Amino acid sequence: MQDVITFALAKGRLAEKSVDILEQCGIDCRRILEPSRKLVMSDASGKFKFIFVKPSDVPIYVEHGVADVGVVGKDTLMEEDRDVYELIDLGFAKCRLCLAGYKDFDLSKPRNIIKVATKYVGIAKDYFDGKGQNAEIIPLHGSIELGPIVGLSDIILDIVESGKTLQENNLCVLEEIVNCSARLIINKVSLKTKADVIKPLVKSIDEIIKNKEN
Amino acid sequence: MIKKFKLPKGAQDHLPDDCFSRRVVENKLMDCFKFYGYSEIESPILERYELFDSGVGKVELNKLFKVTDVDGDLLILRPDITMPISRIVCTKLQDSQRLCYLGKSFSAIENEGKLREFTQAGVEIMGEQGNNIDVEVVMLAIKSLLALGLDDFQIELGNVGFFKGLLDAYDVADDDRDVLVNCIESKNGIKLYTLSGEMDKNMLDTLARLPMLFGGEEILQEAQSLCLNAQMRAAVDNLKAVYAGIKSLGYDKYVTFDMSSVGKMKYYSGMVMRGIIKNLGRAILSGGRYDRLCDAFGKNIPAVGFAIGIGYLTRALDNQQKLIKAPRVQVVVGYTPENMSLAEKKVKQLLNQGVNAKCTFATSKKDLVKVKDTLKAQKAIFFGTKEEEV
Repeated sequence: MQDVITFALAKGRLAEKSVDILEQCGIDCRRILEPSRKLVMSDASGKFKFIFVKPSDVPIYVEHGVADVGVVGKDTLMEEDRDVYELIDLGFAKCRLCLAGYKDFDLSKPRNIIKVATKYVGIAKDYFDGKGQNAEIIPLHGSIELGPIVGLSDIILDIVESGKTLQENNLCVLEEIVNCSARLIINKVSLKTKADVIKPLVKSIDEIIKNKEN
Repeated sequence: MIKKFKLPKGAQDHLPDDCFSRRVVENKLMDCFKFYGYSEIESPILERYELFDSGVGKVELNKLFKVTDVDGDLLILRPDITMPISRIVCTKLQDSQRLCYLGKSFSAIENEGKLREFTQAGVEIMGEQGNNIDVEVVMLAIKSLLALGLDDFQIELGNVGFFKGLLDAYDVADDDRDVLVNCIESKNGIKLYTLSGEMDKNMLDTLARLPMLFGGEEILQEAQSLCLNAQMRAAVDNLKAVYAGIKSLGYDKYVTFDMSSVGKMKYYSGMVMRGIIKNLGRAILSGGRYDRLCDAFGKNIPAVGFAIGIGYLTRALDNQQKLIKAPRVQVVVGYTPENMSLAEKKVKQLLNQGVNAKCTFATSKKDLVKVKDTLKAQKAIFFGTKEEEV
């Protein structure tokens, strides 16, 4: 009997795009996108199971091996820093992880301390530690852009897609830290113990992505 | 929150049922190691900080659980047992040893299953090298997991010489090495792409093949075709020889390969191994050859070994309903001051018949019933003026 492969997905656009690719791999799983409160669903064959979790929890489920495979943004993956295989750049959900603030804010000016509001506490800490800059990291969970506007922080560290939200609030990108996109991550044991299914799947996903690029 | 009820982060209690099962697992492992000629050794949990502060065995300061001695010296709770054993062999024993251990190690940052205190059983062969010694160690890993009733595991082999040789062939600088180790360890071919401006294109192309270079014996053929120097060829030859050795013993179905096993590259010097099993997302066994570890003591002693995490192993067994659970107490025998030896004799008799019986002091039937309830025993026998069931 074939082993069931469990996917950890975050509801929303990442899941939709993932389903597109999996359908191209011959996995009949469109139905998992139907509106439902179910947290665990299967494809038509029952050989693939899908669990829906919070985006930042995807790497955690995969690291522990309760999910074999996951789809997650590079930004979340960097923040969570989990022990998983990061096999494929899926190429969708592209965005930039940036430092942003008022346009006259000079990042290069020496400062005793810089106040940074962000959802990405770990990345922010690593980034400023690496520069030897003392930083007060203020963890927020949404509307990060408010930080500099209400005077909570000097700047923010956040993902930027179109830059519209920043613009409308008179903020701009001060520095790009890294380009992000969705990644296919795999548990370090599952890749080997379920290689008969996962290895070919990885191969076909890789081909689909490469064909798209060309 | 009442702090006295709370455990420190990463500490864990083991309740009686859990203890019973773990002890069975530990005993089976140690019996297996001893059967194959390994002598048990024990080192202190407390060591001097300096032991882990130099050479290839250096452990990052933030991972060490530190304690200050009364005179201000820095002590640590050992992060593993291999380094202390190397210390003992280099200072107190002859250079050639086959040793096994069972004990707790500590990590200041959360480690195995979020724990900072964890139990490992393992073996070390000191002072012997060659493919046959590597075969011996891989075989012992297979035998010890079989002894526990597991059979759907893989012992995944790699050899750090393959990756080291590749980097040497292209004269990669130290800083770049660290970046590449991270890429290969997480099978991150994406990151490799982004380095194409900074590093040799041919090397990156070869490296990009490593993440998927895992599987059965056939992988070694492909690995051989990628060899650029003697170091890489020696690594592949070692794996081929180990595979041939295991095959001659008839256990090759448990062996797989991953040429991108490069973790802790400074520590390991040759073959590396990892035990994995379905439905447990973590390795239950890890080890390899570390011929340079004793350099720190001014000695040249080759060494190879592995450690098994008791926590993960127990979980793997539990997942497969193969964990031996504590048996229920069937009979409890109570005795009054006059007939203790009679009662003990009775218990021994019952035990010989395969009945799980216990003995207890009880001055009255009422006391005995209480004990019976505490032990959740099915039956109680009271030795008062005569033997009677209560």
